[in-house]
Amino acid sequence: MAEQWLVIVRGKQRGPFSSRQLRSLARHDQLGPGDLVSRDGSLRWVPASKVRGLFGAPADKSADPQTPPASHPPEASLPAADGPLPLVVERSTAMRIQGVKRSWSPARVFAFAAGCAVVAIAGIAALVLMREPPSDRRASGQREMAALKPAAPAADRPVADASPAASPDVVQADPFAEPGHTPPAEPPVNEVAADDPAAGEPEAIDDFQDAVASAAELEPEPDPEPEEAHASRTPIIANAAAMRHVQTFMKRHCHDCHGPDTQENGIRLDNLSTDLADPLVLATWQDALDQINKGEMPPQDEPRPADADVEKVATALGSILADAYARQQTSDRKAIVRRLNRSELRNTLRDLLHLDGPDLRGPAGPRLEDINGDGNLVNTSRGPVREFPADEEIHGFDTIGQNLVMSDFLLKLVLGAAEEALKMATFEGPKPSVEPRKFNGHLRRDGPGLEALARASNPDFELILQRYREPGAAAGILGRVAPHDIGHGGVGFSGRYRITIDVSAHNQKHPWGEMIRSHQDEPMLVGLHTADTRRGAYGDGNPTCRQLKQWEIPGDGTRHMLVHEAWFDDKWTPWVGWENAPFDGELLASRLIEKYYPDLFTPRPKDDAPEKERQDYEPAMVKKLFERGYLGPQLRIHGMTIELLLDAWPPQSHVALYGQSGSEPPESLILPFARRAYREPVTAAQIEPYVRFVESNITAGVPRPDALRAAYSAILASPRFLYVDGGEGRLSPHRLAERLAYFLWSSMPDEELSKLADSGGITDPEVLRGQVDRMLAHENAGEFVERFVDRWLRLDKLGKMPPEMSGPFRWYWDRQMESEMRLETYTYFADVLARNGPIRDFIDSDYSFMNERMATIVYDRRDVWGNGFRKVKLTDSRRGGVLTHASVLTATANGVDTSPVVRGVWVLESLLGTTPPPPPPNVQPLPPDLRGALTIREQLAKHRADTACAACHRKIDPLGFALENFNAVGVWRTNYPGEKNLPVDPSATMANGRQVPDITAFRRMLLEREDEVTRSLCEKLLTYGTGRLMEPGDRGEIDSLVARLKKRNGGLRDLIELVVLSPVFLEN
Amino acid sequence: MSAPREQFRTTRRGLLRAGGVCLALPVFESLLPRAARAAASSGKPTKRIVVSSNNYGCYKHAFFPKTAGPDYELPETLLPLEPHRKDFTVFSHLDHGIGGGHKCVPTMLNGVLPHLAPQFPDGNISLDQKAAEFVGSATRYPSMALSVNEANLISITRTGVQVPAVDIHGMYRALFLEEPAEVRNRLKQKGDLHCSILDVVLDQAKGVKGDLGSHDKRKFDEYLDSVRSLEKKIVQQKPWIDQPKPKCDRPEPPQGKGTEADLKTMMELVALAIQTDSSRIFTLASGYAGGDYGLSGGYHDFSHHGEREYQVKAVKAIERGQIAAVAHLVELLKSQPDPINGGTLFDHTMILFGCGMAEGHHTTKDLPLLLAGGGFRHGESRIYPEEEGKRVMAANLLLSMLQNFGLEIDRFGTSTGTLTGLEPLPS
Repeated sequence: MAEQWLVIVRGKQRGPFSSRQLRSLARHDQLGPGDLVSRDGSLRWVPASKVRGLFGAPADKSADPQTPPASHPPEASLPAADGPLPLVVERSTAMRIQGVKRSWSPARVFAFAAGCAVVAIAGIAALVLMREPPSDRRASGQREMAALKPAAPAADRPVADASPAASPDVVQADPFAEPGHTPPAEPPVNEVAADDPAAGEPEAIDDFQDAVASAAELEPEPDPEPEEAHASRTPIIANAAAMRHVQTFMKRHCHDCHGPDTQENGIRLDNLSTDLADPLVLATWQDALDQINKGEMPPQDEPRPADADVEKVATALGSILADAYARQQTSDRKAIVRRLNRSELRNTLRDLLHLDGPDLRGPAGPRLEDINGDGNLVNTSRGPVREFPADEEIHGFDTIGQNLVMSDFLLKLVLGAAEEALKMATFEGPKPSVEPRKFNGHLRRDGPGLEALARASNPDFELILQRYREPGAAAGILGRVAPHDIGHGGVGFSGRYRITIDVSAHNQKHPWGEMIRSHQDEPMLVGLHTADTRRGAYGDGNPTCRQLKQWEIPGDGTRHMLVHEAWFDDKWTPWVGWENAPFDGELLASRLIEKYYPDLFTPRPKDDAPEKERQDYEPAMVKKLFERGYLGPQLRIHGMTIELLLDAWPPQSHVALYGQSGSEPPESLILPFARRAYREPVTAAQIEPYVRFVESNITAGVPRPDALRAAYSAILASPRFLYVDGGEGRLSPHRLAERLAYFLWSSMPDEELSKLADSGGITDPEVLRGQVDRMLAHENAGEFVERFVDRWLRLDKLGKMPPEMSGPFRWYWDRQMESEMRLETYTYFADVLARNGPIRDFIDSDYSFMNERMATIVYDRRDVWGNGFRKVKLTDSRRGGVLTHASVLTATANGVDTSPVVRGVWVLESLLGTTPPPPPPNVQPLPPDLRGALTIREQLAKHRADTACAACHRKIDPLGFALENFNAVGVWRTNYPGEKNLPVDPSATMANGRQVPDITAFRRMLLEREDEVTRSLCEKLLTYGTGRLMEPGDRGEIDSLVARLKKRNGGLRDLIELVVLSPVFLEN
Repeated sequence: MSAPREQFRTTRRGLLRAGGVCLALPVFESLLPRAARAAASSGKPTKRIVVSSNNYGCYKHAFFPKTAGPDYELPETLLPLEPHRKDFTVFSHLDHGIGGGHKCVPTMLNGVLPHLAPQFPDGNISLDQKAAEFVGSATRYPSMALSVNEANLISITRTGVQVPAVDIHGMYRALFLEEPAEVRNRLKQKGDLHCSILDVVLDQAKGVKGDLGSHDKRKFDEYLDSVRSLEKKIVQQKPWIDQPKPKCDRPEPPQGKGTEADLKTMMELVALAIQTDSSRIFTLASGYAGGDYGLSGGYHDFSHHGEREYQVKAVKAIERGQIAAVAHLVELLKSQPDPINGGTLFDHTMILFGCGMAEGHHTTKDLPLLLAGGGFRHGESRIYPEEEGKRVMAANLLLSMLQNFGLEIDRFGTSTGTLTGLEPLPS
């Protein structure tokens, strides 16, 4: 490949250029000796003066392109060599840079290079369009082109794509276009070009090419290279109708000063190309848009266009440009190699090394907690990637190769994580006892209140009479039962356990309902929970408490043996609670006796009575109460058995690393390890260096386990492990297994997938379907639910701007609501997935999942009990679908106040799948005045009064207004906080004029747009699954998937299956 | 311990005493790294950079002077700097020309939003990390990222990764706590082990490149660079493992006493770190803990003040506390002779205060920025053009600072040149 150069001109990076183009730039003073250049992407920058032959004699020998041939038409003439680079305007740096956003596809590389060179020399001239040499691919695509570019004979028009019907290069219609407004499919040819003066341009291009060709070259350039580049170049041609609209406007308002006769500021617009793949062309269009938006052009002393016209043209041009930007990021529909992100790395280490544990599932990054309540957050995670920074993301996705960078810092963390995980897999101590530990009778030795005092009367079991309290309400271990020592120190050895609970429930129906308000119509719910004992035994102050399992048992006194298997880390404990138990504050024996056994009642000693007398009073009452009979509802825990499930010693994780005997030759261990780590077959030759590494270390006196671990670390730091590579074309069986595993598990393929890859069977669609079913039923599919939902609905933003501890939403912290909010949405998604539910359930439904905290705090209802999430029918039409989940509403606020703009953008991006263009540069937020009588709606009305903002905000804001009834943490409100307590007005007028009075009507409206939501979801599944952003070229396939899903009236599971069997997923 | 009385002893032992925290320590000439001594003898001054930031900007009516020049009236927030008004410059109408509210906070020291980083030769590396590359292994810590009741978001590596910050505990331990010999040995062994692992990795990886496409090659090069760079860093840091740390008689200072007190303590530690040449580059972010300055509420909520009285009072109090901490550092550094360059430490330390977001309601126009010390001509309020098209990039200030630090570069981030009007004093 020929050399490519990057240059930095006036602080901005341009390129890549070929050597020849670089020379041209230098010759035309567009590149100074002091400007930095870099060759072949090395990013080692040197002053241009250091490049041999770039400045000085050889250049002068070439033909002087400043003197055009006589036949050259004036409008295509080249500016003087010392003319300014007409497009470089210092101030709008950010947009300019965005405009030239670099992408590394070969097509773009050439387009970029060619475009820069041309413009550098010729200014903004129609020449840009003309640089395509004749090509046999040009015949098609002419229809698009003809209407768009200034007149040029058809024979010299550049080429879009082979098939105009499914051309990826035609910008989609304005995503904001109102229904019914569709641009004509085939615009009249040459409508704009008809009166365009740039008729003689074919000659111009020849001249230009001659000029460039005759420029002295730094090094001879092989001829085929530009040809190849031409062949793969893909111009981005703007939507014809929309662009024509823009051009008509510009002809009327701009060309007088920026046309053939005058070029104010050296800017000429009448013959500006519409090939937006050319960054400098794009930048000029962006400049024009900025000027229009800011109202700076046309100048005040010129006739002003009507505001409505300005808005229309700004909208049209804005969406054309947004689309062009999106397509600059193209990677030619190929996922490039990508680094495992931190979740995937953690999960892969877990599965590769046969590990498990609470910190090896769920969120992978740091878990920051305020342990002492002093505002200092501590990372309490013990997972191997706990120190990893968040991965880079784009459009919310953290699985896109281009964006996932590697650095020495990260590599150091990778090494550390690998070493830590290897240690976790190593077991050098004696075999732990696998004798089941049986606990009977009194399991607890401590505890408060009635339950503890009742032990004296009930020697054979632990009683649970009340509900354990959730975080934030200090009540010790009331209502929680665990074997005392385990509850305070953990199970002792990290591994899988079988927990058996011997339990009976009594008095579901009881006569004491007036004092003890229990749910007499419901069976009793028994919950098994876990907690890290290092965080304060299993009491309610312990934020690590999590429910593992929930059972229903009738309150008829029968004994039940409840069994559950789960992984427990050594310091973690199980505990049992009664999920729908009553909780009445103080359940006192004396109060019950006073009410139901008044003959036994004695009044409580006065405060000045002797202490002993006061202390003995309540226990005496308890004794009397149980002697006469406790008729209230109760759960009796008769016993618990805790059994370590260990099928071998040392465990599999250890044997896989060091062998059974400890004397196996290193290659016999390293080969299978590398096979699994690399997720593809490995030859003996490939692992030979690692084997040598082990042997030389052992020779040098390093103990065998250490030497082996060093080699494993090296494998885990190697690119074959750290990167997922799609390869080229149709995925090979091993790549497919890998892609599928990272899609649905965020981890490596397991044994079964690997075997199917080895045999090639995985490429059979039937087999694939079966695997999707199997994988979604696997424990690891929890990662898909959580991580995909995080990305699709942007729940990753939860916790980035949480409410403040010291602010009005302190309960968000006290009651640990963030994780509960997430769980509602995760369980909701998991449920739709499990029952192959319809996509519209995400838009609206009459159910959700909640536990007691979510129910009381968010839904304001008192009929849901305990920590476990349950499907609950909604009684309130204001809620339904994910849109009204507190997780989404909190993630789309900033912890302080809400913004219809942010939530409107969320509806557009996440639900409807359209990304609104970014605001014009230098638009600053309006400083709100919260003293006055302005609601956010009134403030935004100001915003929309500004033409520059109106075009987009007219479409964004209405989508957010309906959500204003939910505050920054998703709780319903009718008035804004603050001195004035202004009422919330959720009504909105959509961009198409439709009136939407409130959230219920809003969801109804969204239901009518179910297809868009399905398309958005489909696109996001594909993005997530393939590790690349979807591009216009994928649109056809996505539409077809959506249509097929609709035809078979399919659900979420069907959609996932369609996605996996789609060529977009199966190919690279 | 009673404070030494004689002037001689005070300077000799480098006693810092202020705010109830007293840290005494000797400065051993022999402790100064060779590079520093060499620099000192070469006549080129060794500079330091301290950046103190917050994450919510400043209430502009109390931060920016109304007039330019030396005789401006000191705005309310800057009052704690009154005794030093000849030694700092406050800048009006500088910014990075980008928008994005809170997302711009991490752009304070580079002016580059992460998604635009690929457009810049140095990516979105921050000023401190760029300077740290220049310092290399000359000090134990090439740079230190610090935090007091706030996430420090402004230190960003060449590849766009945020540098994790340490609090007062972490800072004190890093500076003075000597690791036991076995820990040091383990660190060295680990370094050696990692180098040997990386050797194998590199050897193996070289074989991969052949079968990659061009996009993929770029990613792969990034990987190889990371391997080489990590190896280099391990080698560079190794000699420091056995180098004894400076002694400090004082016990570890407490933290959690409120932001005002903690911030003062942190500034004292920064001064000690400079004095002992443990590092020359510091970034600090400070925030607010409930109850500070007698306020109740949250910093983020205050920053969305909407001109409400209580919230405005709150942000002004917090920001004034931040400026008071800068003034405290200025005092400490002025009172200390510079063991490397002569003069005082303040003469050779640039202290930048500011934020990458201008105010809490997400505006990013007119960043609050203030520079003290470091050998520039100070004492003025400098007001740059406000008009679109004539505005000056804040990165120009960053470039001026980096040049002053000793880097021979003429671009940094979005700079268009050095900052006009900010002149170095003749040395």
